[in-house]
Amino acid sequence: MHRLPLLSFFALLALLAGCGGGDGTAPAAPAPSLADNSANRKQVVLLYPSEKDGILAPFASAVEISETPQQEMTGLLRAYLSTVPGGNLVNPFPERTALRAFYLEENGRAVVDLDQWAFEGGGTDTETYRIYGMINTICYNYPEIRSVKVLVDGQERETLLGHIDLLNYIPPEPSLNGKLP
Amino acid sequence: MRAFVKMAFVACALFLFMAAHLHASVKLPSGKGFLETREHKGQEVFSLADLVRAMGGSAGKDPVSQYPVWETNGHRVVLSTNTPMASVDGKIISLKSTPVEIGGDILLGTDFIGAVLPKIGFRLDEEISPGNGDHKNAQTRQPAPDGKVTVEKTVAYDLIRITFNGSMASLAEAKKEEGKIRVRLPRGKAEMSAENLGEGIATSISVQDGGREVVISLDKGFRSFETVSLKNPERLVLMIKGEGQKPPKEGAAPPSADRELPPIRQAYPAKKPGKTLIVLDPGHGAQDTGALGKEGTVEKELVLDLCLRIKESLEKENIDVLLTRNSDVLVPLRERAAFANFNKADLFISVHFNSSPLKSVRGSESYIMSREATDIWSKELAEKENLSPGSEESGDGLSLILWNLAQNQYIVESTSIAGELQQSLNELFGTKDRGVRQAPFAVLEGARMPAVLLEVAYISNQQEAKDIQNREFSDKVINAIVAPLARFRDRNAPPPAP
Ligand SMILES: [Zn+2]
Repeated sequence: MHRLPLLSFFALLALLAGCGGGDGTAPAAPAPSLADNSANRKQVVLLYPSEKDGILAPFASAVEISETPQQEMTGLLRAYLSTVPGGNLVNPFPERTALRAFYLEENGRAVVDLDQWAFEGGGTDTETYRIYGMINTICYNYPEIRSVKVLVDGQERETLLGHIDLLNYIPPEPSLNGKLP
Repeated sequence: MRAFVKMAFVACALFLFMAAHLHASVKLPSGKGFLETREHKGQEVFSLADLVRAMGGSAGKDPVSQYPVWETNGHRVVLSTNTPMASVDGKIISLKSTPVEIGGDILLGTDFIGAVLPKIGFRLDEEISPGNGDHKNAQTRQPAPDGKVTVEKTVAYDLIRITFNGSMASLAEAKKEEGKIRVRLPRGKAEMSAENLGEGIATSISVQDGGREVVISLDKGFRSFETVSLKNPERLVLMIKGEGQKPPKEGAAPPSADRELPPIRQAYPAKKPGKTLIVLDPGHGAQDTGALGKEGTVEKELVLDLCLRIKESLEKENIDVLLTRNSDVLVPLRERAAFANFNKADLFISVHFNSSPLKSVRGSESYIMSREATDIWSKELAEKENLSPGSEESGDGLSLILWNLAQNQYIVESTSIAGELQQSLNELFGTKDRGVRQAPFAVLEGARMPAVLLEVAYISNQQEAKDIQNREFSDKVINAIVAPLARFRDRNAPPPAP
């Protein structure tokens, strides 16, 4: 739909809320491609479902190299949520879904806190692609992450759309991935 | 005289007109009267312009986003016309329906009143629930008279649920001490007498301190408990989990039925010797609509209709069937498999309709619990970390194995029946079989029998959404589901009754 006005809607909300901590700051333009070789950026792979065969296929992107892994992974997730991959690939999240926070825990665990837009309707496939698209992306780019807990609006949720259990930490599901670089 | 008849006629017409409109109206807070509502695509809606007239402030559009904006009382409400959400001073609020822009006006669902107005300084009257209050729910569930707290119990093999209904019951506190759970009511008295619960998880429930405290005596099968505070009406649900609960004695009267939450009704397992029992779980329910598909399809409605009809067909095949819900109610996900466990079902099938962000996808899919994925994961983890299984350090892997343990022993039969159901439906649809998938589904967790989550078709696909609403075609869908289940019955034919 209208990506720009929607981003503006969110930016407006963030502005009105008086907090820069939301994802209103997410880049409006698609993330740069592999061609972007600037020294301070790290190449990453974002995994999105493909119209071609329904598997999670790679999309080349880049994130800013940060001082801490936590900051870098936050950048990766923001890129994941805001990118419109185009072609056969589809971003399974509603356009305005924002990352509220990302935490690194011990023993290869991470916690992703999304905002309420992540709840926007869909079926099992939508839910599977949202959860595993995001988790497989994190774990592929940062293999030290072994399982991820998903929160919405800072709270533990039983499921996102009524199917997949979010009360536990979820490991990646490599069988959903296509051929990766 | 003529003038009088005319006046009487006008008065009558006016009265009838007003009466008709009084029915279709929503009450406004702060003594602002009623707002006329109308129906739009099955939703009761009202106009933003009418609301602004009644409550004050001004409506317009945000210059950047072009979203409708209502400014009042020094607050700014922005409405998204793409998604069921609004923002109040930058804070996002979920709505039940997406605001619709028609002819320059904005139509809002009636839940907007309860969800938004309290946030911009209007005090709600008692009967309007704040937040996401479900009006229908509020009408059907009558709170107990002031000062009285009614207690409802449902007892199952692995779960005892006790609901305290009454004023301020949601604030009741539950504490565990010395083999007992004590529920202290903040106000009023519990309306109940002491009762024997049997044995296993808990043995009895009684009242103390003149009804201010309800005490549940625990047994060796007790594992954990949790409470859920709910509004509309005020209630506290206490869930006591464990294993092996048995009723007081054979032939004893069943515990009082839970009127609003249907699944755990029977006191004793429904499974009859020599007969196959299948529990069908129509996915979602009540405010959890499931997927909203093409052609106006709503997942929770389609699955309920389909399951009721599958039940009929299976009963003709001499298979006993129980449904986790028979109407549009919300049954907690984890209680659905518990219901099948309690009734000692031979098979548990959670029935859904799928929706995908991918336009091209269609056909049927089925899922089982994700044992393989987690096993591979834990093995990899153990190898990487050079940890032995059972080591305290093995973290996720170990807990995930334990988590899936209940389904592990049924994995072969679950895969087999899932594959047959999916193949049968894909043959009917003429679609490619993508194989049985695995994922950690909350509804399948803990099922102690073969368990499958079946996605009958994609309602995000125009053709499938259309087909499934066609009676003749949906009859074929039912036959395609019943045939593999009849084969399951033959394969697993229980020994005949002695
Ligand atoms: Zn569903």
